[in-house]
Formats: sequence, structure tokens, C-alpha cells
Amino acid sequence: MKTQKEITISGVGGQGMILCGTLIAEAAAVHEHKKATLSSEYGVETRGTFAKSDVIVSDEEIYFPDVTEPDLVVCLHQVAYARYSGKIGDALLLFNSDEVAPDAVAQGPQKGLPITQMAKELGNPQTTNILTMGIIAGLTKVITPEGAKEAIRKFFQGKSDKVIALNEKAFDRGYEEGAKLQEDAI
Amino acid sequence: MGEFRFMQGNEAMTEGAIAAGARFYAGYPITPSSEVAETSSIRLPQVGGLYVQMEDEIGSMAALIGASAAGKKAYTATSGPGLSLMAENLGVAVMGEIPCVLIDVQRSGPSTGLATKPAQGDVLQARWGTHGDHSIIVLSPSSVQDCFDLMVTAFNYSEKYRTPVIFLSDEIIGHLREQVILKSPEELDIFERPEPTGDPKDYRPYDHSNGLAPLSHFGSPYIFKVNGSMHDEWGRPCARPDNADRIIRHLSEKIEAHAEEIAITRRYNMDDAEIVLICYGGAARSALSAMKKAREEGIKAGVLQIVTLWPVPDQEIREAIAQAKTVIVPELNLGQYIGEVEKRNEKNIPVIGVNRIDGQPIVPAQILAEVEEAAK
Repeated sequence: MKTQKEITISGVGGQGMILCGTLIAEAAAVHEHKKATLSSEYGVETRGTFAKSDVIVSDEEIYFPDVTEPDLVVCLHQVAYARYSGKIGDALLLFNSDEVAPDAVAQGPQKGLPITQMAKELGNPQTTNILTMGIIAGLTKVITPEGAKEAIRKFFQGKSDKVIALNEKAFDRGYEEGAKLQEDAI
Repeated sequence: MGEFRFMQGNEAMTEGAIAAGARFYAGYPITPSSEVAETSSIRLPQVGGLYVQMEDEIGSMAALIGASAAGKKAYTATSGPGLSLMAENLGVAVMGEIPCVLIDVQRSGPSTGLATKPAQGDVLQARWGTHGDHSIIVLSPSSVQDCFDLMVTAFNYSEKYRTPVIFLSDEIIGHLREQVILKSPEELDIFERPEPTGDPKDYRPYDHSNGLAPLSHFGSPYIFKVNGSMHDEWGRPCARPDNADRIIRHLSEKIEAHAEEIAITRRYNMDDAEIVLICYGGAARSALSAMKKAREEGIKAGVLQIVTLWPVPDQEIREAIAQAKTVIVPELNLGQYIGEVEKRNEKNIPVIGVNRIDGQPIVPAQILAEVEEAAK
């Protein structure tokens, strides 16, 4: 019986996957009092090549901190999609349809969302990562919106109220989409 | 009561160093250790300490020796390429018996290698990287909590045994983020450097005939010299054969004679273990995961985690071999610590290495496959 949730957030360097994963894991550890880890992989280039962060949330001690049996893989870029599509069994692959052209015949469950477009509609494409955080939270329920927002506020501490409000809004927008996806799955 | 935080291993090392009383950092940032420099540059000035961005790693190590000789607990952080550059002055710290802590967040080598990828290729370099006979203390963390707790231990050992200590982390643990409790000062035992007493004229900083001589600090009336060349009890150059013999034996014995006291190991499911995984650092996380799965399959697997890599926890490894049918040693190198296990394998049981050198962590399934094979 699997007692832990394993989530990979992948894309290319610069898309904010590590921040997205960190805030999820932090919210789970600090606000939900669960065990949580965040490990990451990146290249020597700071931008443009494959990068990912692995979030594990569990009720028990987490030993190996990399995702080996994913529940959800998020792909924010074609490079990441190519790496995971068809290789993650029954886990859901969620991709950013603004960045990824999916395989004509995809193996396993896949779902695309126009995450960049959604972020632009909120007024700032830089909110893509927090929007993604919201989608993951709505879909997996590994963290609550309250915990997530505390983590967001802590990270953006010192920034203007406008920036904090925008990111909270981005989280809510993502959460809504994620919750819808979960209902679809049921 | 400590403070519950979610943070990165590298960050927790900085907090651990500060909690241990360190107030000086000199370094040259390098992936995957840079966050130690980054957080030290922010945190040290907040507690009255000093962060110095140096021109390179040679200068960094020299600055550490100077700061420690002036009485401050000092540390630096680097990775393999920087460790190579620090090796020269590490020897000065060994010879001068100057306490300091050198963090090495290991990445794939040799040379610049794979800058962002994990490895454990510096295990023997940490032991023997600087030339000449000597002993040294090397600690290996496997969690963010370790990064805090063991950093305090590293400083305590360093001060107590008047030696550089290498804090041998790796990219997996350095960049891992997880929960940590930053213990409050009253929860920590901190070893403070004893000051010399008596007539300053009689102060002999290298006279260890009555236990380790206390190290004074520059500016105090107890004057001492730091000399990389062979020196007498006063620190003055001395080339007498009997003196050289005494000094070199002392540099080794002051640590090796206390190996059991310095040894830190952890035993998991060892009581009835027949297949024992001997591991350390980031690879210990993979081994623990594999052990848990093996137990679920009914295999009597256990883990002996080595935290003090050097001096070698001799007794603990011997006991593990005595009870085991097979020992498996997972390492992110071609087999650097397995030699220490094999040296103690008088029973001649199978000792199997699980090695990975492609810049990726050892996945638990790789270790589990060996465990299952051994259990057949």
C-alpha cells in the first residue's frame, strides 16, 4: 500500500520548477506537518536545458528523495515531455499545452492545460510556476490552499502587496483547474 | 526548543556552523556548494561574524588558518576542484594543528567533471588529499538535519583534537530540501577551545606530553608560531630525527587513538540482519529505501551507516561483518570505501559493491536487486 505521493515537475531551467516544488514541499512539511522532500536536477546552463524537481510527501520517513513511482508528472516544456511521455505507466502526465505538442498517440493518461495563457490572462506570465503549484494542489490535495498561501506569502515576504496578491490569485486559478481535472478523473 | 524549518542541506550547514560558534568564513563559491557561501554571507554579519569572498580556494584555506589562529572558529565550503586547491594549505592546518572545518559538497569529477551532478568521488582524497602521513576527521551527512547537527560535531571535534575536519557532503544532500529542527543553544554541547594558563614564557603550543596543548590565539600573551615545516614544542623549526618521528606519530595518534570516541555510526534493522548494507552520505538514503523494500519481501536486510568515515569505525564494521552472510557497499564512485570493509573481512564473506559514476544517484532498485540476489 503506497502511503506517499510522488510528483515530478519538469521543464527547462528558468521556468521556476524548483520554486514550485519547494513551496509545495514546504507547505506540506510546515503547514500540514507531513514528511516532505524536494530534490532537483539541473544542468550547468542556468537556462534552457532539462531541469526538474521531485516532490515527495508522506506520512512516513522518506529515504530516497527522488521520484521512482510517480503519481503525477508535470511537463512544462517539450524537452521534459519527450523524456517522460510513455514512460511513467499509469501516472498522469500533465503538460503545458502552450509549450508542448503532445504525441499523436499518447501512452498512459495525459492532459494538457494552457498554463502560459492562463498566467498571461492573470496579467503576468511569470506566475506560471505558482499557477502550476495551484494545479498540483487542486489535483493531488497534498497541500491545502491555506498552507500553500502561507508558503507563498513567506516566500514573497518584502515584496509589494500587489505581487503577493497576484501570486495568491495565480494559485487560486490553478487550484480551480486542478480540482476540475480531479473531478474529471473520478 | 528548536525551530522547525524547511530548508536546503547547504543552508542548514551554515546554520549549524553558526550554532557551533563559527564566526568566520572565507571561500570561493562553487557548484554545488555555493548556497553555503551565499547563506554565510547573509547570516555571519547578522551574528557579528565575517564573510570574506576570496580570490581562490588556496587563499580561502590560508584565510581560515589565519582566522582560527586569531581565535575564531572558521569554515569554508567547496567542491572537488576547490578541494584540490585547498589540499596544500590543508596540510599547513594539519601540521600547525589549527582547528577549522572544510565543507566539500561532492560533485562528479575528476577535474571540473559534471558540475551539477552528485558523486562521492572524494572519499579517499578527503583522507589523503594533502601529502604526508597524518590523520584527519571526515564526517558524512545524509539528511538536512545532519547538515545542522553534524556541523556542530565537526567544530567540536576540530577544536577538541586541534585538527581540520572535513565535512564531506554530496550534491544529493547539499541540495536536498526537507524539514530540520534548528536546535537552540541550550540543546547543544559546544566545545570551546581552552586557553593556556600559567606563565606565558613557559607556553609550548606543541608540547603534547600531558594531552593536547591548548591553542592560544594571536594577540594574546601566549605567543605561538605556526610552521608548516617540522617544528619543536615551541613551534620553532627543528629537523632532529627524533622530533620528526614524534610529531608525525602524534599527528596520527591524536586522532587514531580516539577513533572509537570519534566514530559515529547508525544501525537500522541490524539485530537480525544477514545482508548488511554499509553506506554513507547521499547513497545511504538509497540503501535505507532498498532495505525497507527488502524487509517487506521478508529478507533480513540491515543498514550500517557510516557517519564518521575517517578515522574508520573499525569495531562497528567488524561487528557487521561478523553477523552478516553478505555485505553490500553502495557508493557513488568506483569503490572507495569498500576497501576499508574488505580490509576487515577476515571471515571472507562476499563483499559486493554497487557503484554508480554517471552523475545520477543510485536508485534503490539497483541495491535491492543485489540484496535479492544475495538472499537467494
